[in-house]
Amino acid sequence: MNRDRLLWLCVATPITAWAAQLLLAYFLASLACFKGIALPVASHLVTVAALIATVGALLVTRRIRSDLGAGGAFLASVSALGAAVLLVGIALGELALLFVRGCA
Amino acid sequence: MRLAADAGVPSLVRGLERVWESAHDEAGWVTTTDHKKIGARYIATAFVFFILGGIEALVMRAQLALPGQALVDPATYDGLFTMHGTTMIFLFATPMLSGFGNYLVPLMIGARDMAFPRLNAFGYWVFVLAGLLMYLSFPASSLPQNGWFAYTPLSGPAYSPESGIDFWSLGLIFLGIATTVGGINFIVTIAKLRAPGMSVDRMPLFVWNILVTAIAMVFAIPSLTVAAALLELDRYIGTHFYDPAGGGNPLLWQHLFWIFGHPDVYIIFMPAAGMVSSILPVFVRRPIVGYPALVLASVLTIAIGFGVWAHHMFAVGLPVQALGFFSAASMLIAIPAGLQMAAWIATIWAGRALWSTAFLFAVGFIVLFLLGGLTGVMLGALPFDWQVTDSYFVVAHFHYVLFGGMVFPLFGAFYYWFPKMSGRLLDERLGVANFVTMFVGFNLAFFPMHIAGMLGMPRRVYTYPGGSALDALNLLSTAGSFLIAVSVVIFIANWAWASRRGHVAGADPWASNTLEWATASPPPVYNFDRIPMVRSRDPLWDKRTPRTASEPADLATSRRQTFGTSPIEARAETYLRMPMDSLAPALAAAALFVLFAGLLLKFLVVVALGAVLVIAAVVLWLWPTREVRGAHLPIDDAPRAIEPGRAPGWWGVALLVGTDATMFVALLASYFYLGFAANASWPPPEIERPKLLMPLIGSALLLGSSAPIAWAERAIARGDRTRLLIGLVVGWLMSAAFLTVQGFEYLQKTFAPQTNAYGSLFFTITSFHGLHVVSALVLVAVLVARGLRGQFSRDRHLAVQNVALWWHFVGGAWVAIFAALYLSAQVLR
Ligand code: HEM
Ligand SMILES: [Cu+2]
Repeated sequence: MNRDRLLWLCVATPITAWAAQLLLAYFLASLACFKGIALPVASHLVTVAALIATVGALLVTRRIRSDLGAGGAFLASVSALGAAVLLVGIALGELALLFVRGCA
Repeated sequence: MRLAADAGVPSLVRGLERVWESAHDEAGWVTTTDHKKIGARYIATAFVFFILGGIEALVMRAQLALPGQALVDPATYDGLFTMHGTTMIFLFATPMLSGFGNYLVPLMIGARDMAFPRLNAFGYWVFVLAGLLMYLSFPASSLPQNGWFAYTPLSGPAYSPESGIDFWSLGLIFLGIATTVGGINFIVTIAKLRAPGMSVDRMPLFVWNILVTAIAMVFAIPSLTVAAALLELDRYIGTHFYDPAGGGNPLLWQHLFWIFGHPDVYIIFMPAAGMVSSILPVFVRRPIVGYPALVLASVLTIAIGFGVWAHHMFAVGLPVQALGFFSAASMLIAIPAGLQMAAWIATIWAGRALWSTAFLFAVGFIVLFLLGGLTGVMLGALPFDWQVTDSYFVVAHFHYVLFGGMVFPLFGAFYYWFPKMSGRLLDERLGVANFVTMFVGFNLAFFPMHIAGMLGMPRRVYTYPGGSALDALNLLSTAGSFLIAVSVVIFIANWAWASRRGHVAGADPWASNTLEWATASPPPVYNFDRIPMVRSRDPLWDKRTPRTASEPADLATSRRQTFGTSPIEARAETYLRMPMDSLAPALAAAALFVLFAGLLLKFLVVVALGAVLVIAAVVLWLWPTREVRGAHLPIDDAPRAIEPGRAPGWWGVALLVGTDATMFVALLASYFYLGFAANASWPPPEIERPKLLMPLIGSALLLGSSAPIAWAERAIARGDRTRLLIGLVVGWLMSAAFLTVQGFEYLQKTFAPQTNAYGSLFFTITSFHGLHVVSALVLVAVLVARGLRGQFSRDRHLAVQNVALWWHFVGGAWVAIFAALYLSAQVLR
């Protein structure tokens, strides 16, 4: 893949993973509360998938960083730091999953 | 580094003036596309709305000064807080910051205008007319009374039969057009027009923040537009989106509104933070500390900001576990906010401060925003929120964030950039008086509200019983509000005085770091006679001899042009030709006004007239002007392209596709959201399952039509005009056939939009898509007309590429609709 495209992908993946975890967790909680369909394992799997995607993006970012120009390298660093913060976010979401229960 | 018009090049300067000047008459006033004029108009108009919103606030505070007063009746009070909130958010804060962005971004990035100058003018006219439309509710004595977030069912037809809310929601849909095109324009300008060498790590932070703000605009506004449009449909034709009796759900409004509404907080805050990041380093005389951290904070805040909307809905009965996630996300957003604060404070710490007025306002902002942030974190905690939601605690919180977070930086920005815009300095002694009265007045007005809220005073009440601590707290608040008014009057006096008598500023009165100070004050129409080469983050503090990018003078003086550069590294790619002044933007905005006024009056003839006028204005707009076709100008756009990338026009259409796709996503999400709440099946049992044969034929036609269009595009890329025309016509016919099939399907339906929420969704989604098909048909018709006149060639056919992109998007959107409305129904029903 073209290096610029790969960089954009690395920038977009962590935030997408975090958002997907949030939305899916919300959806699964609604499913459990309003439809009585509880899929507890699914929500944890979502967390795991989000973590893997984010860490993956981080690793790729580090790999390509040295081949980029000044601007690209800067974007890569910012994106890597952002991914680290979003990892915290995904972990916080998992904590909510583990410790906040119930519907109303 | 100094680049201001130097004496050696008088002929260059005269040539640039000749191509960039607008006509000096009334016509020139309307047709100008100069970003500086447009920016200044945005600022002035938004300031008028600030005064109006401020007067509304003062009337409310006068009413609340003492318990049990009857200065205004309850209904008027409701109208006042609704108009105040709406005005401050939509007609003051957002456009004011767009005005600064408009004025400053091209100067800061070393460009001669915005990427789409005519779109820029259009955005301004739409903003003015939309504001006018909303304010017509005063003479019509029909104020909206539902608060700035207009919750259903209160705002629905059953409980608000009067027309007030129609002024509000039609006005917001109309205004959304301005904000969206503004956002697109900022993104493309910043991505493509930066001076050579200004790679993303050298962009001024103000520009970074305008960029993330613009992205938030492009993807948040669609949700509001959809919310307001569905509300109007409920009110006008009796659909059931928000009506539980018909299978709708009032919470759908809350979701759609806050998916827009929380990012909107950052749309307001981010540019203001960018102002602070511009002002601080100049007045502590050192580069900003933690530039990467500040960029990171901006990007993250906007991104996370899209995922926390439900924290406005903690009290509506969402599943507790879901509240847990949204609470967690709301806490997460404190990380970038903290980073930002740390960087600002470190910058002040590390430098030596010059206590000018601009700097005072920036520091005042930091103090107030810290307080607002703290109460925000408190509200992010569920149990606390449940306690004080809808009380004056919340009013105090969001004024600390909005007023402290936006108005203080704004006044700092006035003092800092007024010299650039007018050539004269504001008076510093009046400035200090301005700051002190505002800071004291603000805290006097809003700090007591925290306490009033915790004592149980609800927001949005027109009075309260006397004999408690609330009496004194409210009186203090009112006194503070009037002190703020005094402060604003001081500012206006300073402005009026300085415009005529202020000290002459010179190009760079503050010894600043960024490019807007490299040109004269006020800047010449063409901004820069030679475009600077950027070699560092603070180009004006760069000790090296300044360099300029090479640009043939004959080309620069024969047409409006600026540099086109690559998005990340800002390598020079091409010289971009910019359009001349035009009446089309103002006409298009006026035509839209007719359309919306017709909707408001429920006058179908006027609506139809407006629609025809809009189409006419768009055709006029897209028709190439004489200057472009004439032989005295180089025809092709990229004759000396160094490394061609996508043209700005293509980027613009791609972003338009993005914002439109977001609208489809919002509509389809609404479809499944209401379907989820329905008990048994979706579509509901009384509606038959959609048949597939006709829709499949239609889909084949629509998707198939992309082939001849793509074929036509490839033909013209080889210079084949005949095949271009054949492909366009064939695609047009196939797509028109799709519409016919769709029409037949409508006729066969046994239900209507009024039947139930399912019917409402089905017809709204498909006809919204149908409108897109019609728009694509109109555009291709224009292409055919232009093609017949031989206006396209191998090197000049950007319009074909852009329309083709739009065409494929319309087909792609249909795939999603088909999957949702037709295929999912086979399973869920
Ligand atoms: C000039 C100083 C200002 C004063 C004295 C003031 C005062 C007030 C008052 C009294 C209310 C109504 C409280 C209630 O009854 O619930 C209010 C609401 C509001 N204000 Fe302000 N305000 C000021 C400036 C601003 C600014 C600059 C903004 C935004 C940029 C703003 C945004 C809002 C919003 C969004 C509401 C909520 C309206 C609603 O409840 O729907 N205000 N303000
Ligand atoms: Cu929020």
